[in-house]
Amino acid sequence: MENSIQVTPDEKGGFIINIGPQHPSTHGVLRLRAELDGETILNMEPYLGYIHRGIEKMCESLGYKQFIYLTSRMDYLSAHMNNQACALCVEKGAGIEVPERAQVIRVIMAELQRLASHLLWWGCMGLDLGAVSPFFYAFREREMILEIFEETGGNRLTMNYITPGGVMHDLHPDFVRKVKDVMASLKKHEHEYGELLTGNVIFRKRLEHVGYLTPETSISLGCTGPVARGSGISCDVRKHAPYDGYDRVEFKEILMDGRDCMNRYLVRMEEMKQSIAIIKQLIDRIPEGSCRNKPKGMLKLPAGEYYSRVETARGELGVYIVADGTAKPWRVKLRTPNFSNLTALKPLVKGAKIGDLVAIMSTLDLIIPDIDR
Amino acid sequence: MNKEKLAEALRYRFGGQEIGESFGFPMLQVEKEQLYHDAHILLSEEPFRFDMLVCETAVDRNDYFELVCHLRSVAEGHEMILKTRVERGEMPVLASLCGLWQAAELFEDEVYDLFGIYFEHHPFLRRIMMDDDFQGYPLRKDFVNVEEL
Repeated sequence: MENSIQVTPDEKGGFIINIGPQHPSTHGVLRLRAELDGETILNMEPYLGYIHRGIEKMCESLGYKQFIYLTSRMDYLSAHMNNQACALCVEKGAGIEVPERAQVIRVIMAELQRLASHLLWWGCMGLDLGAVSPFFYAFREREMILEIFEETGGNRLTMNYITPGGVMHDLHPDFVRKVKDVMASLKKHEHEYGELLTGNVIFRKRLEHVGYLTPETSISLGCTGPVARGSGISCDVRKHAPYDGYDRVEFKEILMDGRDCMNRYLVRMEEMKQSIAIIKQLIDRIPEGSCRNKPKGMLKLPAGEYYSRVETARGELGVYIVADGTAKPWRVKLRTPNFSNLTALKPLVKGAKIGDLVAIMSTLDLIIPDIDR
Repeated sequence: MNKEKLAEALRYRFGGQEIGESFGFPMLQVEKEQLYHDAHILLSEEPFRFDMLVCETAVDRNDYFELVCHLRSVAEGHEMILKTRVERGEMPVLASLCGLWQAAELFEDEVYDLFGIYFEHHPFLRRIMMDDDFQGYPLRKDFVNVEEL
């Protein structure tokens, strides 16, 4: 990579600093090469690929039921939604109907996953900015959610629970009770989240008026999810192209137009409340019946092109499948939200202080395996 | 604008080009020399205003490579697929779309890295996923992994 350095330090009077690839604040193996002038960042280039596993290439040698397991390893905090996106795409191609019970289970699982993901982000956000205690508070509820996943699906991180035709197993008998417990616990401790970070003066000063992302830049960069919604761009796939019965539940798309780090933070905090609202609507109305229309034999998609998208905890995940009529996909493209959100880092940190870099990165909420795939 | 109206508008504006459907969206197939020119029309002219490049990738079709761009208009709420073909070769060349959508920069880096398609006027084309000294382009269908031999 040495030949890619074009500016020598002395030419501009500043110096170059490498952050990562093993830096705790990058939450994974991402290398940032920043050109500094004193404390001000003049330019920054992200270098990725340290955890590239070639998931798209591997998909080409696996069957349509199999490649879904790989996608849990992309954005491991949105594993349910990743599986869901691929399952939806395969179902669209093969014309598989999903039972209503499975759809409701999928939505509840996806929203629980969104809660767990945002809770982890919230804890890490505090940790990044020097507050250790939020991490322990966030993990209290997150642990309860992961226990629910473990009981029903058998996994805590790489779920592999949502599959073409429905879900893998039926719900654990304790599921409804435990989900209600989590909801009650979140309600009971809501004020702690507000007191620990949201209302904390030091924390607010670190985020307010830092990292402005204009709507125009956000659109041009292809940002989605809370990053775009913090700049006031409506992009929630659950609203724009509802899937799995999201059009039958009531929730609000959170939009803030402050454009700075604090607004991206608040979007996620409000989204958690919306997730809770969705789960509360559905938890007592899970229909009876089968939870899976099992596709018989080898699953084959007719030759053609198929596309589906879902809203993960970090934005829009698009799955493009080019099928050639055989049992294996010809080409799979996974348009991951973090890959596009990463591009926002460069315009955001240009001109900012190096101390704000961590705050900006935290509000982008990057998951590196999702970028590299 | 709905799908039918958009397809009609495309037919009206790009009469000579192939128009069909792809990934469930209206699809416009352009000549590779015309790629930047036509993409610019899609970005700036009414009623298209495709201000967001959702995804840019390539597909190895055995005889040729196909560049697939998924465009969206946030203001108008419609989407389309822009496609172009480029012949197979050591390093086929296409025009970069970085001047139109900033998102193209990393997408094109990835296509260059995994398919070996060169993008002219790209500000900083590099291998983002594989090592700089890696031989071959993994997502090509004729790629052979040396370690497997």
